[in-house]
Amino acid sequence: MALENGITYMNYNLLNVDPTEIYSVTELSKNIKQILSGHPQLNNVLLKGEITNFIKASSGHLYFSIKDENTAIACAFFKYLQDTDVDKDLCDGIQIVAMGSMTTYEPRCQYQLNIKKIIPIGNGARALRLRQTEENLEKEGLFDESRKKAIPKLPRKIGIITSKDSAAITDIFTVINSRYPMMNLVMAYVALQGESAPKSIINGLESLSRIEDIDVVILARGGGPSEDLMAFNDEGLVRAMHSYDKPIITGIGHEKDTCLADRVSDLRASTPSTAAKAAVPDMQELKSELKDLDGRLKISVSHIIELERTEIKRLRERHDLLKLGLERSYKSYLNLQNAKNNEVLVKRKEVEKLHNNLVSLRLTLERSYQSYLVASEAREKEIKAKRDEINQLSRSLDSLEVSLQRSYDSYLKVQEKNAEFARREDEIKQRNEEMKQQEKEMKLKVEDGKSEASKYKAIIAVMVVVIIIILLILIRLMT
Amino acid sequence: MNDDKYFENIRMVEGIIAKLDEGKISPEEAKRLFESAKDLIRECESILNGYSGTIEEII
Repeated sequence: MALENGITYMNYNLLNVDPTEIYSVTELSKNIKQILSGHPQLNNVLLKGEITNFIKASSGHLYFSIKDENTAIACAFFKYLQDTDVDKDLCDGIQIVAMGSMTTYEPRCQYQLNIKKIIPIGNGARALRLRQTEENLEKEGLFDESRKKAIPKLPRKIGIITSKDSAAITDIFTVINSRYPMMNLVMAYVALQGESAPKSIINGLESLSRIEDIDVVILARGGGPSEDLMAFNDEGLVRAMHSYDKPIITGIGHEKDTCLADRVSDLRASTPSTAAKAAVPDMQELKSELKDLDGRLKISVSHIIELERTEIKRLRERHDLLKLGLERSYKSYLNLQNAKNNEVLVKRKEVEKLHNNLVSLRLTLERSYQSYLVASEAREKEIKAKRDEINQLSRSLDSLEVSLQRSYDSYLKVQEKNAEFARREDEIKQRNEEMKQQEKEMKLKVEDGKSEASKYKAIIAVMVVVIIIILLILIRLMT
Repeated sequence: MNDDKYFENIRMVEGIIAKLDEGKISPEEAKRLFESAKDLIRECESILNGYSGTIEEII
């Protein structure tokens, strides 16, 4: 509550005051808010200035200050009041005209402008145009990742587009000297800021495109105010970069600076130095890789050689074993062969002996055969002789037979004579005496005849024996 | 581009090393591959050393 008239802070005493008339902090804050909100001159005011301390809360509400050269005022722009197309590009440094009403933030009792609408002006408008251009180009697909060309790892030549007095050129050379001092470069010095910059950069690109062995291009510029980088948002430049047939690396401004040229480039590096690093290989690294490769190759081949050496050693050992076995077998074979040779010699001797025996046998046989022939001849002769003898004997036998027959006939005659003698004896008997003498003589004759018959019988028996012997001899000869 | 030749050579050498590491080839073949890989590495070195460090200014 306000102090009554006549009461000052010097004579003020709580004893004289009604306690219900004392404000609490909340009450005072609420009171101030009511006064501010109800004041017609502070409602729907238009405020011009530059955005600063821009914060976008997770709720989507925007909190920032609008400032001029001397003063800044806190502002709140709640999400439900925002125009998505326009307000999404708000950021520090944008000039705007804001419409809103003054109020307080009760918990801290701070006054602020609750904004209802924002209209970008100056740079803000340019940012809006830029946004629209970017959207159009994006729709056309100029920023598609699929259209980006691969950055060569080992380019033959590198084209560099920058300004001659740019700090970027120093940074780029420093990187190149440290990574690949012998890299071949083609410089296209162009204007990088001002109205002529986009056309100048496009000229640089066209000039580089006429050099066949350039494999990559760096478009670089050092840092500066955002207005100085506006050339890199030029639609014509973006389209020229897009249709360029070699990969382009951009290194424009600082890390936070992003422009359309960065978006259309094949690789966006945060700074010129980073762009140079991306374009230029590290010679020491490449040589080191080659050396490593060479070392690995040697190790790999030595591994094979080692394996082969082991295999050769194994084969040699096996060969030695085989040789040993072979020698042993050969010795055994030789021994066996010697034994066989000896055996053959023995057998040969035996054969020779047998042969000799055979020869001697043959000789003997021949001799025997000759003897046999001689003997046979002799025997034949003998047989012939015997046969002759037999014939002779046969003839003799025949003659003997004849003789025998004759003797027999004689005997018969004798017998007849004997019979006659007997008859005569009878006659003689009849004659008795007279004939005794004659009888005696006759008896003598009979006895002689008997002895002769015995003689003949003996001869016949001898002849039969002789015939039997001859037959036996013949049978033996025949067999 | 040097890229193609250089990195193709590197890939081929890697392939040869892999083949050698398998250990399924004869020493003659290993020697032939080794010589071939050495040639490829020499060619790579030649590419790396083939830069003259020229700086042309066209504009």
